[in-house]
Amino acid sequence: MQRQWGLIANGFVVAGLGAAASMLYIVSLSAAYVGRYALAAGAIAAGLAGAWLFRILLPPYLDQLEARLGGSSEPPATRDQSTANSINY
Amino acid sequence: MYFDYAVILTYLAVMLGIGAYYRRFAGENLDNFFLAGRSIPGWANGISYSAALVSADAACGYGGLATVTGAFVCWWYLSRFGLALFVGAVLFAVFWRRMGLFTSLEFYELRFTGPAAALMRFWIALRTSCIAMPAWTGVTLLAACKIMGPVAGMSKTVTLLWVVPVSFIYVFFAGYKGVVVSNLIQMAIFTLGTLTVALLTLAHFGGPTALADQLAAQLGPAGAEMTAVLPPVDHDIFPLAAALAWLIGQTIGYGGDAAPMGGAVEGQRILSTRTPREAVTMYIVTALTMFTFVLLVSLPCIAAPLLWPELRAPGADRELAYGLLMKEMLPHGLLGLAVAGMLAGVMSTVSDNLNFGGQVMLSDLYQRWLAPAKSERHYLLAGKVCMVVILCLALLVVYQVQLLFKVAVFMLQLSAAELPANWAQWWWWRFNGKARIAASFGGAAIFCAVVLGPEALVWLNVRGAASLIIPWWWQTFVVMGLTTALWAAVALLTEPEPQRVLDDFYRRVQPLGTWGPVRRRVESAAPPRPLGLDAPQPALLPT
Repeated sequence: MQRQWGLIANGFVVAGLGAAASMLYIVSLSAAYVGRYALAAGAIAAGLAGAWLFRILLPPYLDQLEARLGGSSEPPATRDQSTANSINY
Repeated sequence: MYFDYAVILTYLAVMLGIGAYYRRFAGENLDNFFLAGRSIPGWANGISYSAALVSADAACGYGGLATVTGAFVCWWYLSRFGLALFVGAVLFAVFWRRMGLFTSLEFYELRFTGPAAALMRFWIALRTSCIAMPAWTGVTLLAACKIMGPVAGMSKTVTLLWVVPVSFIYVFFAGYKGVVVSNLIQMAIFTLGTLTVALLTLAHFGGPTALADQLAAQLGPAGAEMTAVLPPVDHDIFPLAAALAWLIGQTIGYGGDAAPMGGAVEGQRILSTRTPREAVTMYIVTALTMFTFVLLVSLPCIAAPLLWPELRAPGADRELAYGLLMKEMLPHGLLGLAVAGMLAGVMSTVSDNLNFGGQVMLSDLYQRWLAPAKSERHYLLAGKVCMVVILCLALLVVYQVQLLFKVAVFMLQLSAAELPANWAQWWWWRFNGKARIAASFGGAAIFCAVVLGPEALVWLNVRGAASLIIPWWWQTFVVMGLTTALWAAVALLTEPEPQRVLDDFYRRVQPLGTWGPVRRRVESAAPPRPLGLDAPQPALLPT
């Protein structure tokens, strides 16, 4: 169970990095529009750093999720194949 | 002026052409009509989802808000969606996509059983297709009228005659694939048009620094405050506490909901992507593009009070700001492009909502409850009839029948109470159908008691009632906390879902969180796995 919640916690960290990067990108454009150039430059630099970290950390995290699911090469189930048999009417 | 109309007519003709081009593909089966054969790249679905969320009403709403806030208007949408979309991307997208559902609402009858499961699926389908989709579609059409009125002097009916027939025709024939392809074109035009307005507005005032100086000179301290990029601590409309409350409150539960934001089209976007990883990409592209689109329509309106100071007066219709800017800033030729951009935004939302709402009404109401064993051709026709029904309801919203919109907004507020339950249903095996009902309906009752109760007491002139009213950004947490306590108690005091249901769900989904008893049961019944696959995986971060 600890490993399960560890995966969730790691997921929040990765998500937080991505969110922060996207927010800093928007804040930088907003600052630039009203002439706050130094703030805009700082925000976009921090945003790019966050985006780089997010890009590095996301694929291995998804690999961990897919390893639990038995690998990513298996085609997802379609409605006809399994859903009709599984729905608990 | 004739050039403007030529631009607009060319755009409308392209949309009709898309409808004709994808007609055969869409008519083959339900998966093609409503999910594009599950073949859409993640980036395309991401832009399409943004197109569904951003429209002329964003220009009206966020633009109007910008006239009384300023550069920090971005936190109105960053706090609501910024972290939430990434949580959905990282923690939920692959799981949703792997389930291979036709609509996300089928989740309820996979995860739960009995009357509770059926009731949840029915209620969410009804709320989505008969309330939310008509309401949001109607609001979008109304926003188009608020743009076209000041820009082109068009009446409501004339505006609708431009927008509705073409929007409906291409989604009627081309289905979801036509929606996605048209969304890509529409948002390209939308971006070009709104970027033009943003840059011309800046140029009109002499650039960013000159704009800031004029805001301070003309509006005093309030004008200087408009150049802040973080909400002020004590702002009347959007203080920092509100932004923080939204950032946390709106993120809780996100990704786990079958119909987020009261019925958004997110589920359709996930289920139609090519692979689970592309579903992750969908969310990320949605975040980046949606924020950019909303930024482009809100930022220029910071300057609107310099030209129309009355927009900041109490009771003013601030939502006219963007239309006024378009009319003021754009020369002929460019005006036609910007109008086409606005129409593109409106039509993308309208077609998205009709297709998604039609899918839910067909699959989760009509097929599930009324006609469970008909042919594919029957359901294809029924799905199109469902779209007509939703469009008719949306037109009611446009023509002064505001009740539906008010009901939709009210439903959205109510749904905040049950947000934590959207994670619990994925991450806690003891969360059962009864707890789900408690979260959804008990939460609604708690919301009414906490939010509406004090207001009713004030209205009845009960002494001291005003002290019971707390700021709206704290109401969310109080309601959420009480509702969580309720459904947790219900889950622990009632029987868990039957073992068969839990085991089937676990095998199919392999959810994270607390599933120990189920996991052990499933693993003890499973055949031995080849050596190596059980080896510990390297931790990404310390656990």
